[in-house]
Amino acid sequence: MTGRVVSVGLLTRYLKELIDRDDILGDIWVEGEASNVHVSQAGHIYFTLLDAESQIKCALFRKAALRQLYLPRIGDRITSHGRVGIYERDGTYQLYVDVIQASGTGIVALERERLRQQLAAEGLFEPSRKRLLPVAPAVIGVVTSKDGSVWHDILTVLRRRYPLTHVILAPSPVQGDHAPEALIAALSALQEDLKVEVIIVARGGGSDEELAAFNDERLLRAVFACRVPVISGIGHETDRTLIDEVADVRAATPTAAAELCTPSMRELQTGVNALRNRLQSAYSGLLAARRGDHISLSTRLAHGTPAKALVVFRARRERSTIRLFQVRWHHTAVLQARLNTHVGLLNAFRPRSVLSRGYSVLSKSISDAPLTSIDRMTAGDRITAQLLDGTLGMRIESVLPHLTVQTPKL
Amino acid sequence: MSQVSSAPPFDDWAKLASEGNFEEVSAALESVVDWLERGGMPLDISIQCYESGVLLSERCAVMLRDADLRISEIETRAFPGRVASLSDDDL
Repeated sequence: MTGRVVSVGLLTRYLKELIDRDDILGDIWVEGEASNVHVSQAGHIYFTLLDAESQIKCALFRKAALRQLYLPRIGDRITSHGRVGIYERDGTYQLYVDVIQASGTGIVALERERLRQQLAAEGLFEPSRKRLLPVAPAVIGVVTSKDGSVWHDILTVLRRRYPLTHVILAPSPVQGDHAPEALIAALSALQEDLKVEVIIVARGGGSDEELAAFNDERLLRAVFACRVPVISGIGHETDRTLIDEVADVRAATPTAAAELCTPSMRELQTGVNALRNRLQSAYSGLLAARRGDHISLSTRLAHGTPAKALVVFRARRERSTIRLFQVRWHHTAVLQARLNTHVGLLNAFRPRSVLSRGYSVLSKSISDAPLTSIDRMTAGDRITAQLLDGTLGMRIESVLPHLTVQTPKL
Repeated sequence: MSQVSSAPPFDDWAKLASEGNFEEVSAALESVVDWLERGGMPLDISIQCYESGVLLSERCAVMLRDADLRISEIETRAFPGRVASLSDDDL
C-alpha cells in the first residue's frame, strides 16, 4: 500500500467499511454530557456528547426520537446507545443514536430499555395484535417451574374456579442462563398440542436478575409468535418484565393469570341456571300459547253447539212464558174490574132496590111500561103504582107540567 | 312453506350431550333456548327441543357437580440437548 495515492472518497469509503464491520462500534453505549442540541426541520435531533477529554457528534433520527421517553437537553448527563458510523460527505464520524437514557441507569436496565424500544418499533407490543382470552378454555397450558409454589398456586386457583379444564404443565427452569431456551422449548411443546387454547407463563417474584429470562429477546419473540394467547404472570404486582408487554394479557401475579383465563364455577352455574330458566319459560310460553289457541277453539266450538242454542232457546221460552202469565193475569184483572163495575151498575138499577128507597113505578097497568112523561095523560085516568110490597090503583086528579125555568136571553 | 329455516339439529345436540365438553354443552343448550324463543315450530318439534334442552342442562349440571381438574405434564424434549451448546456460546 505504501506509495499508493488514493482519493479522499476512497479513503473515506475504506474507513467507513472498517468502522461498519466492527462489532463493538456497531452496538455501543456511550456516556457524556449533551451540548449543541438542536432539532432539524425534519425532526431529527443532533447533539454533541462531551467529556473532559473529547467529544463525539450524535444524530438521533426522527423515527428513533419518537420512541424515546427521554430527550436530551443541553448540560444533561446522558447515556446513548447506537452505532458509530462515517458521514461520508463531511468525512466525519458520529454516533447514530437509537436509545437515550438519563445517566445513572444500570447497564442491564439500559439494555432492557433498548430492547423495549426496538421491539416496540417492530410492533411486538402493538395493542391491536393482542388477542382475546378464551372465556372457558378446555385446555390450559402452563409454563413454569415444577418446583416452588407457583405451580401449586395455579392448580389451587384452577381447582377452585374452573375444575372443568384440563391443565398441562410444560416444566421449565425460570431463572439462570438456560432459562430462556428452556422457556422457549416449553412454549413450543405446548403449542404442539392443538387442544391448548391459552398459555400461562408464570414465575414467582424475584430480583431483576432472577427475572432476567423474561426480558430475553428470544423468549419475547417466541411469545409474540405463539399460536395461542399468552398470559404473563411474573412476580409480584410491582415486577415489570418485557414479557408483560408482549403477552396478550399481563397478569399481576401467577394466580391472577390463572383467574384471568377462567370463569368461576359460580359464574358458570349462574349461566346454566339462566339458560335453564330461559328454556323453561320459552317452552311454557309456547305451551301456553298453544293452550290459548286450543281454549279459544274450544270456546268457539262450544258457541256453535246445539246445546248452547237450546239454552238460549230455553231461556227465551221461559221469558215468554212468564210474560204470557203476566199478560194473562193482567187481562183477567182488567176484566174482573170491569165486571165489578157492571155488577154495581146492575145493582144500582135493580127495581127492588129502587123501590126500597121510596120510589115507585107508575104505569097504566101492571103489564105496561113504566110512565116517564105526563104526555097523553089526563085527569081521571086510572094508573097503578107499584111499591115494594104491593100495587096501588090510583086516579089522576090533575096534570101539571113542570114549569120550565126561563133563562133570560142575553 | 315460505319458512326456509331448517329443522333444529337434534342429532348434534344429542351427540354433544353425551360427548361434549362443558363449553360445547352449554353452547348447545343456548342454541336450544334460541330455537325455542324464536318459536314458530310445530308443537312436537318444540317438545323435542325442550327435551333436548333438559338433557343438555342436566348434563351441564352434572359436569359442574362432578368437575375434577385434569392435570398432566409434557416433556420439553428440545431442552436438554441444547443446554451445553448454549452455555458454550455464552462463554
